[in-house]
Amino acid sequence: MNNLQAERIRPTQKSFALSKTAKDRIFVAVMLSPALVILVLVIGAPIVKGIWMSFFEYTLAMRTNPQWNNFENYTKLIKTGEIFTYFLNTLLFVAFVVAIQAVIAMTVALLLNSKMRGRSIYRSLFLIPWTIPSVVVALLWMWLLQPQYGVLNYLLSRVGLVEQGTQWTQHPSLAMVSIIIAAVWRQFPMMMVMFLAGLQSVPLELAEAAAIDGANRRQIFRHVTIPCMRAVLDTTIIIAIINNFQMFTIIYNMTAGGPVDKTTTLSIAAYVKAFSQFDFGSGSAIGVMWLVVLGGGIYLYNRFSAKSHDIY
Amino acid sequence: MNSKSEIFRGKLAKYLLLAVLLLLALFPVYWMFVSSFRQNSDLTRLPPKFLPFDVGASLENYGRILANPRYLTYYQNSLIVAFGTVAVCLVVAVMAGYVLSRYNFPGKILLQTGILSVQMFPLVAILISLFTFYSDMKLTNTYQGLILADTSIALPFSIWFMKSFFDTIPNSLDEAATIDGCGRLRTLFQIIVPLSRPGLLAVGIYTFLLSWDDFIFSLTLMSKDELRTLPVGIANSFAGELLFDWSGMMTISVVASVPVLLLFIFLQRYMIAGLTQGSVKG
Repeated sequence: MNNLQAERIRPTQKSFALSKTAKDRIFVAVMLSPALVILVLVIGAPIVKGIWMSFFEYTLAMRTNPQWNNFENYTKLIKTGEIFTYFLNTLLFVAFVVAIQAVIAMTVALLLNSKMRGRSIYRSLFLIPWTIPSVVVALLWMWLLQPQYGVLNYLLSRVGLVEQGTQWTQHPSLAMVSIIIAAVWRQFPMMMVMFLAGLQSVPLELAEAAAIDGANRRQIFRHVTIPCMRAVLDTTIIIAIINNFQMFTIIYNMTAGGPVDKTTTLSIAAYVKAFSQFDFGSGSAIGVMWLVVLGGGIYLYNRFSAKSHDIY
Repeated sequence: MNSKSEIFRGKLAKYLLLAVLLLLALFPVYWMFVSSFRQNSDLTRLPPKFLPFDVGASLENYGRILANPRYLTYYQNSLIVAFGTVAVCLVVAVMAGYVLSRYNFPGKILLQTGILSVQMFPLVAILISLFTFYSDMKLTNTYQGLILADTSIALPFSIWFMKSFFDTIPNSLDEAATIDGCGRLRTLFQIIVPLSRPGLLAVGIYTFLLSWDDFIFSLTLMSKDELRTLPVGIANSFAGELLFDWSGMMTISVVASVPVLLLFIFLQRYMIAGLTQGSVKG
């Protein structure tokens, strides 16, 4: 009798007890869920809703009753040509900011990578601009470039580069220059630190071997240093491109997209459409086109750079 | 041949270039501080006085700005949101980073790539529909709403950073703890987390900086003036009528930069670790 009961109980116990893998799975799911819930709620769902909204007439007044408008958000942006202006402004801004900061960052990194006393102090000093909040960066550069009393405007006019009283942030071409300067100034320290870390990961023996083989310094840089830190360069530059596509704070506070759309990038345009004109549909349409172009660009860059990796 | 004078000339050129670049990097910050100690009447006189004590310096601007209760409110809001974001982000990133480091499960690679690629989505576009969700859920004008939004932006990098940090802690520690009868959660929070202080600091600082610097979320999700954070508060008060109060503007700029500068002075090592970890190891 007892034996029989025991036999009956054992199998049921077994089926209730979870295997170790199953317990692991549950643990993994529980631990990941807060992160996934936050990312899905704050990023995932809005992306999906944004794509949906971009096909509707979705204004503040029509929020409860959005109307399908036959791609009008897209066709309007293309017909008026404004979307091309936004893309062009964004590309100009991103290209100049990333290229200029890469050159400055690499110069500083190479200088700091050589043997010198107090290297870490120099690195710290160079990093200071990166600690200044973006809004402050915008205000600070507006003050430096202020037409009548701005120090930089004064110095540049003394050298004869600009006229005294130049309205940097309201000038059709200088407005773009001023936001580029401010963005480069804020961002190059971060890139410099990355490049410096990359340079320090280049094995010294390789450069020495190249030197023994008669390579000069430029050749060593081009054929040893750059290929060795290729991964760092790629990652850093892609991150910089993505971040500058997103740039809002500095542009919005210095020029707000002006004068007459001369500095209206995709992020400024999407913001103005949605939150100044309350046309959520068009704002989302800009976002969708931006996502498609940026995603496509990064995909192409990855394929291209994967190919060029093979060459080395 | 490389003569001594040639080497000397090379060195001189190097230090000269370094000095010029350093000047370009630091002059704006110097000018921000100098302007904050001067009166508007001194700032609007040409030629500008470049040395700090060429004209009378005083703390008058600081008294004037800090006596304004609005700025203290903005400051307080910024601190609440920044610390809230750091707390939420750390807990969530530690949990997710730990299982991504220690466990294998189907779809793991896809999940990791997905989490990281979140960063390239157009923030403004997300914000437009997020704003409609927030309005429906009554999350606009709440600290929780802004903390949640800031957290989601900081999370991808934080999770990934914590994962690579946990990767450097040997798995044998976990195994020893399990053999001693330690449960999974206890292993994480009593054995692994105490060993991860540098990683936690790096992620904490990164998150704090991101939240402190946030402008667009606060601008759109907080419409009540008494709930605004410092960046939006500053931008609003100096965009309009006070545009010509340059000394006041530079004073509040200094005040807004000080927390980050302090963090930088004391915790530089961890900040740089956070910065470089990404590109160099990945």
